[in-house]
Amino acid sequence: MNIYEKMGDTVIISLPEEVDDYRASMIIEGTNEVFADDRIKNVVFDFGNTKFMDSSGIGLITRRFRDVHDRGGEVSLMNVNQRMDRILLMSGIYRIATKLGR
Amino acid sequence: MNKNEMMIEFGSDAKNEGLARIVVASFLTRTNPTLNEVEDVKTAVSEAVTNSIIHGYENGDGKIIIKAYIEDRTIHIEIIDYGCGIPDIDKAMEPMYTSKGDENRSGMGFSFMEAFMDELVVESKVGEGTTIKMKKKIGAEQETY
Repeated sequence: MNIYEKMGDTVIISLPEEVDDYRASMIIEGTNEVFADDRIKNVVFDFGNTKFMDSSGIGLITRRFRDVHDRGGEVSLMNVNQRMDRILLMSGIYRIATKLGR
Repeated sequence: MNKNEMMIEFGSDAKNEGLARIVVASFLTRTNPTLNEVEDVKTAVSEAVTNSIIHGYENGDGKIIIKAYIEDRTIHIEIIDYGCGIPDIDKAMEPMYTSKGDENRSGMGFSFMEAFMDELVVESKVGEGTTIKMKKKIGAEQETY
């Protein structure tokens, strides 16, 4: 399963249709190795396929924020639909992550 | 509308979080909810079940029961586990609080349940388990327009 793509110092994580504790834990485990590399400075979460997310997804984003923040990097969120926007707004995650596009 | 009820029991396994959401969402459809209302309830159920799996049973074996009923277009949901219980409920419900000291957890589970449902009551006894009771009136959104 291809959960992330590496482009230079940026890792793009394609989130699944449903981001719950089960999926979020799998993504964290599946990306621990790539984020252990100090050269990875930025992370982009792609919500293009995502229809559901609970607070486990916020845990996932926060976790990767901590990894890249120490290295001067940034967290971006792309293809955020209306429902995800509501969840993301409520969680306060936009204080640490930037929404790309509209 | 007459009272209509359901109950399911399933094993404490993270793979069952999706099952729990789908069952409750299907049950809810008879109230003719908006997409947002379905998503709100699914999110709250997901948070409560995750809480039982991770905290109640600490990722070990156990049974989780969901009881729900619909009365007058209000859904009442109980999520019950017989796990370790919550020693300090007020503390657990504080936003961003996580007992796990685990950096993968947001500590926002109860905040999400409170935000997406109209009412939330948590009953817990250490060593006996936790029951989360939530309710939400369907159609409240349309009425405000």
